[in-house]
Amino acid sequence: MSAAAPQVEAIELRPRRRGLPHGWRSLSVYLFVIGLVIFAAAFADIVAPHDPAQQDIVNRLQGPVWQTGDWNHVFGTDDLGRDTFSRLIHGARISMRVVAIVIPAALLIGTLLGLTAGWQLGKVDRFIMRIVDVQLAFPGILAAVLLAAITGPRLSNVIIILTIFLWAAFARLARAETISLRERDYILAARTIGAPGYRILGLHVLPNLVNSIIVLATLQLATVIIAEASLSFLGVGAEIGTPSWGSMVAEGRKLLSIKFWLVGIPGLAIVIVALVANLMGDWLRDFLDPRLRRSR
Amino acid sequence: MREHFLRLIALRLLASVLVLFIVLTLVFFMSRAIGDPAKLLAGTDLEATREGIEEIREKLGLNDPLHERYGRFVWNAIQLDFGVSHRSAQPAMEDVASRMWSTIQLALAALIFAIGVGVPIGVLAAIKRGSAIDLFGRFIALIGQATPSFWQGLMLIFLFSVALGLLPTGGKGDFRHIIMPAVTLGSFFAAGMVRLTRSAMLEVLDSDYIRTARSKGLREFTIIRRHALRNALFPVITILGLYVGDMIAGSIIIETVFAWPGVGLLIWSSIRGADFPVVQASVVVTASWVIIANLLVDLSYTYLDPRVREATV
Repeated sequence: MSAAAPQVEAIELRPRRRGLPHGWRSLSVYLFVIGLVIFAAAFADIVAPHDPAQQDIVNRLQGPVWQTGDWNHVFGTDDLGRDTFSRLIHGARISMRVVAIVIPAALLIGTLLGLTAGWQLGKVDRFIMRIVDVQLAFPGILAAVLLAAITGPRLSNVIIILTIFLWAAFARLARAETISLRERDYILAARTIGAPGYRILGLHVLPNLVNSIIVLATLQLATVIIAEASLSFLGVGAEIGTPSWGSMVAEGRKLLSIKFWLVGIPGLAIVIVALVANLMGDWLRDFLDPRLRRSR
Repeated sequence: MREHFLRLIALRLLASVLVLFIVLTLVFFMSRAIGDPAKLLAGTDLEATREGIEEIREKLGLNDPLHERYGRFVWNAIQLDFGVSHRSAQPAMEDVASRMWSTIQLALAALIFAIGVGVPIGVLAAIKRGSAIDLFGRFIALIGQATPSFWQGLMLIFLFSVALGLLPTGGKGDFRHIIMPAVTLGSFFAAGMVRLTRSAMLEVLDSDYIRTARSKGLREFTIIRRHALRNALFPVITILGLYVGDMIAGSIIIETVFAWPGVGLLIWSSIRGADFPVVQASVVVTASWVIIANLLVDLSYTYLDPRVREATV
């Protein structure tokens, strides 16, 4: 019983603390890391010390700098003598390209369909939600593997598949919020004076959704990065030969027992970026939309 | 009330059948797009003349109109007949059935790991909010959700097989073979479990009836076990059902990393080998599992929570 008293107090204090969650310092750290990755991706050609495809058989399978002391190849080289650090930077470009297309596309499609479903209800709603159900039942990896079997590995496949499988989350969110909002007094008032549906949705419903959508989009960053890496690892993602983080792990796999770093370093890059993206999502959720906290 | 529930079951069943039907359609058209099965069957032999290919096409009924082929495909699929595997020369469904148990074993072991690790940590983290175990739990959850399973699997192999020599790198055999695949598949879900259990538990602990139970002077353990945990586990059960789908999808990756001979590895190898009957059979089987899991979750949820029962239909 003694433990109960301070606990209750802590819970009651929580809502007030949410005004300044974790402090802004942690946010600046997250933004710094993400900014660094975006910068590396955008200026990969300038930032990378070597050409990621350039082979150098003499210096193949070199260890990272803390083993060799050679700053020319900070993270060592692979079995063809390609510089791991440079490949890592170019890999960031692939990850960021996928993120930059998939998330806005899924967000746009999902939000529009979710708003429509929640506003129209009835047949339209049932139809859209049925599509969502089909996607839940059909594993995305299967679709990606099937598609790759048709066309060969292509980054555009990954982008298409991930968009198709991520819009549903936005649709569900937008639909649920729209349904809960549509009977509010101010919406009823807008309807009474004859405002058209699109105007009500755009002016009165959408602004209430923006925060939740931003949070969801941020939380999906990690999902997209990991999914792209997994598909590239399986050989159904990025084109063969392109330095995606996932395919770097796949290429290093055969040398796992002798050159651990070839697998370790690109994997660690994925973990760090995904971790920071998730932390940033949590931070934003607590800051912008405390209600969502419970639903995760 | 009872009639109400039966009607609900019927409606959900109907919806599931519809979803399965759509999956069948997708599979039919997607695997048609991969290539001409007759050419693949004929192989690269010089003897595979144009007439030879034409003969196979005729025999397989590939020259029939599309809607006839589609109808035949659906009709056969209902009877679990997807044709004969090009590689094993057995009925495709038999190939899949022989692999099913391995995947189920893997998924079950992963599920047990996820629940066995995730729920206790989540509960403890909520009870001892802000303590070391809470921090530890949240840290584990964050790492678990940021680590791609294929990489985690390789790291485990490096640590336990290459460096320490404790566990086999892959394949199926005795008990030791399933440890790493199950842990790898289960970690991501264990992480989700920790977060979910923790937040559900915190919410329940904050409620009035817990305060009542406390004021009655019940022991803390009794309160947690009888009043808090039961209600907190409710959303956890729902999510479990949704996990089944993700787990089966995830097993494709895990099975390729650990050479675990399940349906996932079969899908992978049959797509590489352009073995359409097996691809179709395994994709349909996989999708059915997910559909059934979703259905069961829906129904149990509705049955357990009277509020949902009233609200639906």
